Amino acid sequence: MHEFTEYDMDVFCKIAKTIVKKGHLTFKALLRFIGSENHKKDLIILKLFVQLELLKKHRADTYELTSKGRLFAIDKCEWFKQRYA
Amino acid sequence: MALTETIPIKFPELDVRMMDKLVQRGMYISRSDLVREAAREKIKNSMQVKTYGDVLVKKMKEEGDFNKIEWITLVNIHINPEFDENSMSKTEKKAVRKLFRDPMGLLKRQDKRLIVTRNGESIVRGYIKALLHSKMV
Repeated sequence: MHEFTEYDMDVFCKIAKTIVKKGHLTFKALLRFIGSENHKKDLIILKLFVQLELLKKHRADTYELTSKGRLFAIDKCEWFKQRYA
Repeated sequence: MALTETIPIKFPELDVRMMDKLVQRGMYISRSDLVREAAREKIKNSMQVKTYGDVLVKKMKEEGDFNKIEWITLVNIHINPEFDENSMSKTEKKAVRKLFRDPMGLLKRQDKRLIVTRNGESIVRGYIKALLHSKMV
């Protein structure tokens, strides 16, 4: 089973919220919207989310949440918890 | 404030012709009646979706997240300890094999029993929360 660090979850929740609000986005746009301070490190985390099938390609270079990503975000992220209490 | 207000709206000629056809068929009393009814329906649909929570659940419904056999099987395994591979249908067995292959490790086997991992439990909780919300929307 894959274990997520606190930082991974923080990045994932910010990304999930951004995608729900703004729709499918490129990695570059996602990093900008979540206010990433270390693009190199966060890009690796984003690629990990794609490998774990939490994010998937929408078109050539934009990404959206998968079915699993949506369900995971609803349970794990505070922003979603407030909306599905 | 006036109870009714007259607002001028421009329509393409083709739309007007189609409106007239419907009025002639007797489906609407007049063009105004048709436009009023269409506007009310649009307003009703737009007002239904209010929050991001509602938007997400609507998208999940459209994408068929709630009908995915993997998630239904995962929920069944989690809430029903008696639910083992012997009592599963062919599609459920296929779903279990898919869940074993999942890179996040949602399901594991322990002493011939199927156990939902912590990540799997998150998916189950997310599914139930979203499903409950969708029933209220």
